[in-house]
Amino acid sequence: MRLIRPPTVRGRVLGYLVTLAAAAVAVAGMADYALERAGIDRKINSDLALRTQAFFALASDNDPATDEPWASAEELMRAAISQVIVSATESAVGHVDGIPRFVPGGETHLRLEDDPAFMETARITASADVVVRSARSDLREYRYVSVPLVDEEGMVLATFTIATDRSALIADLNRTFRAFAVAGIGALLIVGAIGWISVGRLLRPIRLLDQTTREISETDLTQRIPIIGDDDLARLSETVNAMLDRLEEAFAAQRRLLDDAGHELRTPLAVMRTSLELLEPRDEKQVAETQAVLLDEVAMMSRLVDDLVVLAQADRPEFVRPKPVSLGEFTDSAFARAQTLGDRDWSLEARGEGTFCGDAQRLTQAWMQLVSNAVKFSPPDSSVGLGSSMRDGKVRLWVRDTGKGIPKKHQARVLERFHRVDESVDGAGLGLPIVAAIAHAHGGLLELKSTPGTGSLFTILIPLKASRS
Amino acid sequence: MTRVLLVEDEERLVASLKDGLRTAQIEVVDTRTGREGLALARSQDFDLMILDIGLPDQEGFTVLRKLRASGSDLPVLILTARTSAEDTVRGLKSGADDYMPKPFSFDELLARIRLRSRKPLTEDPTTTVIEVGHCVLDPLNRTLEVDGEPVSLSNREFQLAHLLMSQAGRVVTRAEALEHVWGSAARANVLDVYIRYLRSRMGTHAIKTVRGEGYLFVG
Repeated sequence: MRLIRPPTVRGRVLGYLVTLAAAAVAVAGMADYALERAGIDRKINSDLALRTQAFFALASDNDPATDEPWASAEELMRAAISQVIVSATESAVGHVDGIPRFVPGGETHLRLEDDPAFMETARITASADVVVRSARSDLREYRYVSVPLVDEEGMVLATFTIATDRSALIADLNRTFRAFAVAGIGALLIVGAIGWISVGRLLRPIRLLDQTTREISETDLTQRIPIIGDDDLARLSETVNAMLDRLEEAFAAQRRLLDDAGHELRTPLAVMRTSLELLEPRDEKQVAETQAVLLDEVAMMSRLVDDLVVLAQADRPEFVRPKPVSLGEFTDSAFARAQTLGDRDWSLEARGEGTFCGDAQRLTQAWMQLVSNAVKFSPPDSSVGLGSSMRDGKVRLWVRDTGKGIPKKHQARVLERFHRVDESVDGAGLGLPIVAAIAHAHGGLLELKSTPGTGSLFTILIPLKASRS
Repeated sequence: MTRVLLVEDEERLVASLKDGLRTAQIEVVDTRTGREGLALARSQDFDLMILDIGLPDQEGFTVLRKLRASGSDLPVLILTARTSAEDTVRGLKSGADDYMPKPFSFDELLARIRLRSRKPLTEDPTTTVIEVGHCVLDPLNRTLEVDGEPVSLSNREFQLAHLLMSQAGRVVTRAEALEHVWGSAARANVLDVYIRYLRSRMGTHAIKTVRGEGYLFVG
């Protein structure tokens, strides 16, 4: 027993659908995340640059309080730090004589004074060029600009540092994207649910097809699949229905053939049984007559069985084995054989030239069947003509007799199995059906023209591009 | 004598059936087509009709329906090569009294003819058991016992024995025997063969030759 059921089409389609949607959400999310992060860094940099510019502007100007040059580095730093607008992620520190002297006041903002390690790093890394640097302490990750204030001899009097808490900004971003991820998963669940329903609805014809074909193979061949809609699944159902039509037809044909065969064999069997039961063993003449009757019936049944076997084979692909046949030579040999079948005024009406694809043995069988019919239904020494031609993309093989012809009412039925025009003439009525089956197996047909009292013309027509229909 | 109308198109079957039924004291009128069969059934008096389904001009079912439509209650036994239950039911529904699929046993056909035919068996003188001397002949079961031992006979041998025993004590002429058993005088030499065979079975003296007249069964 299989514990894992093979995946259904519905499950697979849904799998693809959800995977694709998940990939789309993930790619969009990651791209957006990268862009947002780059944006944060850009904004930090430009902010820091702007603040530094403001400090420079303040430093190069007079003390706005006194309108005199700055009294001391300490005064300048005090003014600079008090000018800084702080926020939750931005703050500044002013070092004087290497000691962090000034930080902005207030409670809610970033408190650099809590992180002496960073303040020290910032002071040490101060440089005259405006460079945005990174620093990571135990508490957070910073982006900062640190600039020194130097006297004429180049001694560092003080350093001004403006810093941003990048880790807090990134944490904000991460929070946003966690929310995005939750929303994305929710969306995927919705896509999955809607997908499951709509794929199921889409595949309903397939389930129906599966169910119906199963029922059909279990019960009978008369059921058909209901056609839903007008899409390719509906066409598939139509195709399956057409296949079922052909199957049912083939089975019916098989049954009919068996039925007919049984029917045709029972009558000679009845004759044989009755003859044997009524045999008079002491009456030599009657014994001889019965023997003749029985042998005759046996011969008839043997012929019938042979013909039935040929007809039963006719539906199989190996019934004809087409090979290139030279029509001229084929006609000559057929004509030679025909002449051995009876004393008639034989004539070769036409001899086609060229090569076509066909089964020479089966075609000879068919043609000779037509010839023997012609002999059977025409008086001795009457004229019988054979001919062949190749034109209009068709090969024609014909037999023309000047016999009694076929009455109009029989012409349509003469190709039916076991149909006999004249019950007194030997034969089971399988000759012409066999000829027709051979022509059919070549993709062609058997044509009949007959005028009662004048004679008949039977033509086997084979398309040059032979294909089984 | 029971009179049967046989409507069947298979020549050879008709020939052997006619022959066989004749030896069983059944007179057979035969025809090949349904149309003729119907006409005969309407115009003449028969005890039974044996009707084939696959007739050349029309189906036996059609003949049967027309026959019943014309008010005839002639017993009809259908003979057919179609054996499906469907066909059997169709035959019986259209008014057939019995149904025999081909190939059938002749003895069974005979039994069914006797069962279905209009003429009651008790009124038929040809069915009473005859006992002459040490020979017992039962026409109904077609058996002959000599001194209590069954003797196997062909149809014609039995018919000849029946004729001679039913006329026991009276001379049966050769012409009479030939006409009765073979329906023709042409088989004179066969009669001799049959008499010889019956004597070898029933005893040399059971059948006496009366010169210039015929045979006399004495038992």
